Amino acid sequence: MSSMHLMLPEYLLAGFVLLTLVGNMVVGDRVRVASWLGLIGLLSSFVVSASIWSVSLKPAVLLNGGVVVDNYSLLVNLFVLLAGIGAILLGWGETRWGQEFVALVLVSVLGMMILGLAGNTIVLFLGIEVLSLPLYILAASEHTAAGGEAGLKYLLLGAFSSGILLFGLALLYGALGSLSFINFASLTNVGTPMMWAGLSLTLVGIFFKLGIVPFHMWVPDVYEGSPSAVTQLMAFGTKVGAAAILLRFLDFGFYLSPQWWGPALGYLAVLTMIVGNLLALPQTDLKRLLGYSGIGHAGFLLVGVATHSLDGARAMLFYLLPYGFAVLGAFAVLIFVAGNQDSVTLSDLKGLASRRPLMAAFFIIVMLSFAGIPLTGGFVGKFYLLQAALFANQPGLAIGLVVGTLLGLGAYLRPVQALFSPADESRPVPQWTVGGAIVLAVAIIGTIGLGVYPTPIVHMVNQSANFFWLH
Amino acid sequence: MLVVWLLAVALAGSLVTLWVPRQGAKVAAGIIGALLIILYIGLLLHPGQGVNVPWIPAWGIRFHLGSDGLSLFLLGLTVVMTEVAILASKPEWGRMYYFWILFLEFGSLGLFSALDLFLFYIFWEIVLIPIFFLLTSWSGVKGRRAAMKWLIMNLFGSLFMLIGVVAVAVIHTQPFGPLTFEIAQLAHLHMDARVTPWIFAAFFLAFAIKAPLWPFHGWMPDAYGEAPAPVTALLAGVMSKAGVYGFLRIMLPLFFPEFVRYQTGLLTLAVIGLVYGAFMALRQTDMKMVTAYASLSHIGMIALGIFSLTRVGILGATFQMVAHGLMIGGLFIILGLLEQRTGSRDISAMHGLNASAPRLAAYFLFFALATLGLPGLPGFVGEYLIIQGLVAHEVAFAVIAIIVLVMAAWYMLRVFQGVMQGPDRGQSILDLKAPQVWWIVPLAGLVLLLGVWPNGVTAAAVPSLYHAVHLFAVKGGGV
Amino acid sequence: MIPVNWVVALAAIIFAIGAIGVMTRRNPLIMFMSAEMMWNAAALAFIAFARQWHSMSGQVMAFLIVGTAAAEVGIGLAIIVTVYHRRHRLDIDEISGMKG
Repeated sequence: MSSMHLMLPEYLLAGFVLLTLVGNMVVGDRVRVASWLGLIGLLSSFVVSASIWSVSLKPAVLLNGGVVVDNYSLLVNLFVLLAGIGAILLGWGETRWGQEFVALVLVSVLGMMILGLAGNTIVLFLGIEVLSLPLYILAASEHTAAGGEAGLKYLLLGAFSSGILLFGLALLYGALGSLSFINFASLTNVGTPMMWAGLSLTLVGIFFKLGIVPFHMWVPDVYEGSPSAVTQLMAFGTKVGAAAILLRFLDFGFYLSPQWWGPALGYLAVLTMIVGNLLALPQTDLKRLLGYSGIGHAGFLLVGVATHSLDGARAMLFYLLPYGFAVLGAFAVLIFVAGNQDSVTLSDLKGLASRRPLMAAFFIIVMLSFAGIPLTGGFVGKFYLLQAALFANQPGLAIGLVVGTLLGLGAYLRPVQALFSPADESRPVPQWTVGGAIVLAVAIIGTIGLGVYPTPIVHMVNQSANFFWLH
Repeated sequence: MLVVWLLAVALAGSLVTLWVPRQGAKVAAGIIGALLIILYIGLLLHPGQGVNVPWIPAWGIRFHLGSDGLSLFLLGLTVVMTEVAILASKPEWGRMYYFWILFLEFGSLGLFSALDLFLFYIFWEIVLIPIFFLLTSWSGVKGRRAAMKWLIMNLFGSLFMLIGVVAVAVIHTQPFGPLTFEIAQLAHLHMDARVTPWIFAAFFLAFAIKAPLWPFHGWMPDAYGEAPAPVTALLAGVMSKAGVYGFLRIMLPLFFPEFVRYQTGLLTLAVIGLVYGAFMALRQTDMKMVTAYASLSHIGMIALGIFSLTRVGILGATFQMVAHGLMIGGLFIILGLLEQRTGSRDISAMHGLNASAPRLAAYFLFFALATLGLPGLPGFVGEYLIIQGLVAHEVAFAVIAIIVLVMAAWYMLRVFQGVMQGPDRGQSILDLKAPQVWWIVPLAGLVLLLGVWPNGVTAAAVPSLYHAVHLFAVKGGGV
Repeated sequence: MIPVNWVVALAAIIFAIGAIGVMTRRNPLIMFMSAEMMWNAAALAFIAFARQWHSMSGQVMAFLIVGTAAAEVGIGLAIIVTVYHRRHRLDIDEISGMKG
């Protein structure tokens, strides 16, 4: 297949970004037209990615090693497009966030897709920036004090972390003389101090994006202040993008020298799982709680990378999907409950079980998936990670995972119990929206489906992580 | 295949109750429960082979269900007790209540019939969820804290067990074995002596918390005390058996050498629970808590039977699991009826109720006598077998067990006398009425049947029981 | 000809100044400027290494950094101005209302 064909999902999406912008300019009912255009763009890119994926292809190295299209990158495409579709549907018809909302979401999703197929540090850097720049604007698009604060914090820490990342990349280039991941592999056995410093700084830059403790400070504030649909995109899409590039960077470029990064990642994973879930415990703002939960889940993802094994890579890739479905579902409910408000606290959830039983039931399923209770996808994902940790002979990671899960339990059960409290009659009854209902339905089907019969997805993920040389 | 039908009907039935009219939920649940009893009778007549199909082939996980001598009667206990609990519940508790009860039945049936370790673990956690919601929404003010305590304490054990589950499977692959979670294949696994104690501890913790065994019973007083009576009956009657069942189904085949090595410690733990439960039962003034601690004591007795590692002791424990489930469940439901009528659970607040409610008093006495082990009733049979198993090798423990049996008579009769006998102070309550008698009589009849014809259970259980728990190297004391 | 190491050392110093600036200053504008300094330090290092390895890719990277930085500044200044309009003061501790 030609390079044009292989990168069709990205080209399509880029084209639709332009179309959406033009649509914004020329048509009367701007937000609605832009939403439709954006949705069609994301869906068509999704379909094309899926169809290329199904022709099980050999990894294609394009653009002088800068881009690697393989089953892995295509699977990442599918995940981030799902997050993008979720963001568009959750923000459907919303005029508060400006008419560029859809175009910005599309650009950000494009950045995440670029991260999935990056093969050298130039594309890595471009992907991170294409992802981040629109998100800075989106984070600030809520016209409240919290919105401005979220945007500003995200911008400053984003620029800071990108600076660290860039300097790390520069040092790596200085130590190894190449920008391409594939060339790294043969050069990294002899560790010079400069390479070591470069690797550390690069990882720190990526950890900022992923929200790994101790580089997580921005996450809760930004999640709380951003519009909910955007927070969903950050929680799901950004995490997929950052995790994808972390895995590709380490298991492609540094797969022969895990001694440089394996142990450090293991300790950070345990620290993140424990701290993230621990800090989630006392939260009363639902978005903030999901922010800390996102930190905890980033720790779970890191377990897969830290094992440095094929199983770990597969488990991490698999875990992204149940986590993403749970995020989609949680934010859909959050938007229903919020109505015209900016934020949702636990007391806003009171009485949902009697006022909107179905909505409450779906919310319970989503929270149980976060907590990792069987028959939901979250359990299967944690099981896969546990398997990977024990196969890699790292019981410490397994114990950290279990302790993190236990701590998280308290955080996820409090909102569930709040559902059964007597309702505050002065609050309006939450109303369904069409877009949100579609997202919630997909999220619930996905969560339960992954929990009850994960076999097809496990197969798909195992296929997609096959390119690694870790056998 | 009947096992699968049992599970499918329970799951489908639980969903059906969500869609019937609000007032009809109890009737619908009752019909589904009865249907499950009929299916179970079919299973008793044609035990069959169960089902074994691939589920997640990439990880060697199979959907393997079956029923043998160990689980067959526990399945029966589940369907009977659930039906009784449904009938003892109030119609106004609504659809969700009956949904959770039937979902709990689905989980319990799966738990007792799963033969794949992964599948077992799934059901092991699934049963926690209905209880959590039943405690959250249908119990007293302190119910939420009890629910939280229940779930977090149980998951604390369970999640470490999950590490154990995966570790066992991983060790099985290590040099060349396939990745599998079949319990039968994992039995007699040779493990590294450095990791075995940890894996043993992980499994033991989970089962001991669920049972509960002393000192892991922290959730028990809250949960038993706060739950509505039918739910307490299910907790004490069915759920507590899940933990003990885990010892028999999972731990004995996998860790027999470790059981032999730690036997004295385990027996000590069980006997402390036995004595502690009995003393706590004596001290309580709340009749529900007396029964709760009595149940803790009984579970200690069952655990003694298992840890005796003799055939007769384990057979006694298996028998006692079923008998105790029926008896303690019945007792909790009777206490629930009493609480409904008097509005109190305090022993000292009630006197001479048998004057106004002779039938209620009679059934109360029957179940109380059954739990304290009166000869002719099943409690006696189970305890006799357990003590016989202990006498062979661990005489000291047998003596303590016998002393506690005497205490059991004391604390049970203390409740009965306090509530039912004594001077009549004009307290008058409603006696049992026709619909309640209809389902208490069969339950009492079942208990009586087990007492006079224990061979019905033991003879059916023995052959497959020894196969199921891999008792090839027991210390003797044959049956 | 200036040795490569000197240039890299200069880049490292600029990077350190930038990083310290972000962490110690409280005015978002200055913090943003310091972050941009870190970027420029990286670009400088890339150019120095490109000379060391005699390859063009480092210079390509430097160009991309400069271009992206321009885009980032555009967005960043817009956000800072919006926040300033709402508050009429720029102090990151004062803007920070979310805790926990």
